[in-house]
Amino acid sequence: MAQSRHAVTKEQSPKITALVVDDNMVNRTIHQRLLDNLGIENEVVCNGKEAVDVHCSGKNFDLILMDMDMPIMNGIEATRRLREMGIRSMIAGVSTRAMEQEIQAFKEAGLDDYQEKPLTMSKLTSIIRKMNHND
Amino acid sequence: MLEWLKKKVVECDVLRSFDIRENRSVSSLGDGWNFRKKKLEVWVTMVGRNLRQQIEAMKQSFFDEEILDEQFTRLEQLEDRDNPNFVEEVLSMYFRDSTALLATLEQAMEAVPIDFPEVDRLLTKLKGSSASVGANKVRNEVNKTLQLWQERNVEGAKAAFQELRREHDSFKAKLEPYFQQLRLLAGAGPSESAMP
Repeated sequence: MAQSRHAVTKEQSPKITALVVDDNMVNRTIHQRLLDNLGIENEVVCNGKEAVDVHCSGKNFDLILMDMDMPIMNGIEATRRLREMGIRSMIAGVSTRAMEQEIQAFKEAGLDDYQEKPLTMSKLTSIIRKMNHND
Repeated sequence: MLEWLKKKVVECDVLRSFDIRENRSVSSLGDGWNFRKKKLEVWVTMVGRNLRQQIEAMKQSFFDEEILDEQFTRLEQLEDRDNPNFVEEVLSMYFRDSTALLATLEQAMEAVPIDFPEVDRLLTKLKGSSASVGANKVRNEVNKTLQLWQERNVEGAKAAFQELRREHDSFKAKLEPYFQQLRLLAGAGPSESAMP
């Protein structure tokens, strides 16, 4: 189930929205805090299936931070499904996996960017810069 | 100690106001209470400063021993007035999760037949959350265990897992007093927390 959080408003420019997809509460909490600090409205879900479901309910996000290893539906499958649904949001894979073939499989599912955990402010701003550049 | 000193400062004010109400000589007794109060306030500041130095020394030792890495500092930078205890909250969450994960891992590694992908997934999860909180040594031990597991060296991985467990328990035992000291300093009041 998606949980809403109201971000601290930093600017009056159009708000970016983000979805955090991660089965680990520590990571969800940190990623939300990073997004809050940038004034990005965000929601969280706990696995790939919930990410797909939240989009099926009609919600859309500018940015999706997608973990790879999750129960029920992993990040690779979720990314593939979202792209099949026509979701064109920026999807950034965020994972601990370091093996090249695993990362490649994740990218081929439809990622726009990939960052190794831990996600930091500088990695997140680089994702957002890439997102703004692609617009 | 800080709490006790603060109480004594408040007592000075109470007793001084009692003396004024009782029409006792304010000039001598009032000055006495003020002097005592000022002295106590100096002691509160000194104890607070010492506590702050102790906390800084503890934290530095964690970095020197490579128990923590720069990710911990990045988490501290996410704290603000609205979230003053963010790091402690995240670390508490981490320890709740990691303790349960280690118990699950121990069972999974002893299961017959062994579910290799499942243990791999659990170790990767622990690696991720350890990296996210800056638990450097714990993350390194997870990496060692994971590598042996991926090589299908089960006995080697089990031995490495025990080392991982020890490292995790040691990390927890070191962080708990650190956060206790931080809470003590936070409870000391604005004059202490404002000290450089």
